Amino acid sequence: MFRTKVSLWDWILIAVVLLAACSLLLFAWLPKSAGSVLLVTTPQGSAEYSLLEDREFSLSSNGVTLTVRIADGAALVTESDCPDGVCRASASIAKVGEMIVCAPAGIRLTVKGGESDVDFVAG
Amino acid sequence: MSILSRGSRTRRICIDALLCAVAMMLSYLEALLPLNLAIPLPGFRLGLANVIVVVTFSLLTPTDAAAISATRILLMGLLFGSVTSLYFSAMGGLVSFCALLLLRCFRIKCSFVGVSVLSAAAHNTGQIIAAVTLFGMSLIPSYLPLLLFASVLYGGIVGVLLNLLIPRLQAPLARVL
Repeated sequence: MFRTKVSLWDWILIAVVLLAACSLLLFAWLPKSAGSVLLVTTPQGSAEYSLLEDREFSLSSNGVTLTVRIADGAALVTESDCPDGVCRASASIAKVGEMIVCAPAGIRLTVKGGESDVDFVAG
Repeated sequence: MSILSRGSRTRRICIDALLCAVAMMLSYLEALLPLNLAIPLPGFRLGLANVIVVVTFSLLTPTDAAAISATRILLMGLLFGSVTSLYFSAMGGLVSFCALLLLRCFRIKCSFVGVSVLSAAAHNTGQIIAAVTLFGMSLIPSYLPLLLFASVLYGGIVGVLLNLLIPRLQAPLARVL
């Protein structure tokens, strides 16, 4: 059904995939505003932490423990014992909408904007 | 063209089962490779098992390819994975197969290079869609472009190999199958 000699259609398909990848990259690089609140969502509930105060804390869920550090307005996962390591490899997040996810733990860290006059909300 | 234009249903089931076993073996082999050293993207797969699906789609029928893909994903998920990995694999396989069907429907005359690249890109897109349904939207901008670039590279290599292998395999396969 398919040919075995490279044709124009192959280059067209490769170009379509590369174009899609570049478009998504541009979308990712759109400027976003700096956030001030870190929303932590776990299967047990959610909590908010201010990004303006440096701190370090641990989260545990589904047998996985993460250590999160907030410093200079950004949050980063510094340690994690999860099997795949996406959270450890993620860059620090500081802009609104940026997110770090640990799939095995079911933990999501999201940066939100706006004022927050509480350091911790359990719920 | 279909090698299986002759033969009984039993023969067809046996051949599909054989190809499914090969796909499972390739899937297992791929899981042993330390891919993270070459491409540090968690969840990235070479898609070796998908080669069997693409070859089956081309040399046999789309129905055989669908059966092999679904059986392989289900068995690998049950034997070696979790519900989450089964879901990710199923979404990747589904989107990848839809891409193959689109190529067939629109009668796009590409070689295995284009097919492999599109199939790999579709597979990774399907897995990202699965991740988004579970974890939310923010994964797309950062992760998918890198997966797409990697799928062009590895899909291209696999496609070139298939372009070389398939013409040489058709005659022996027709005799055996």
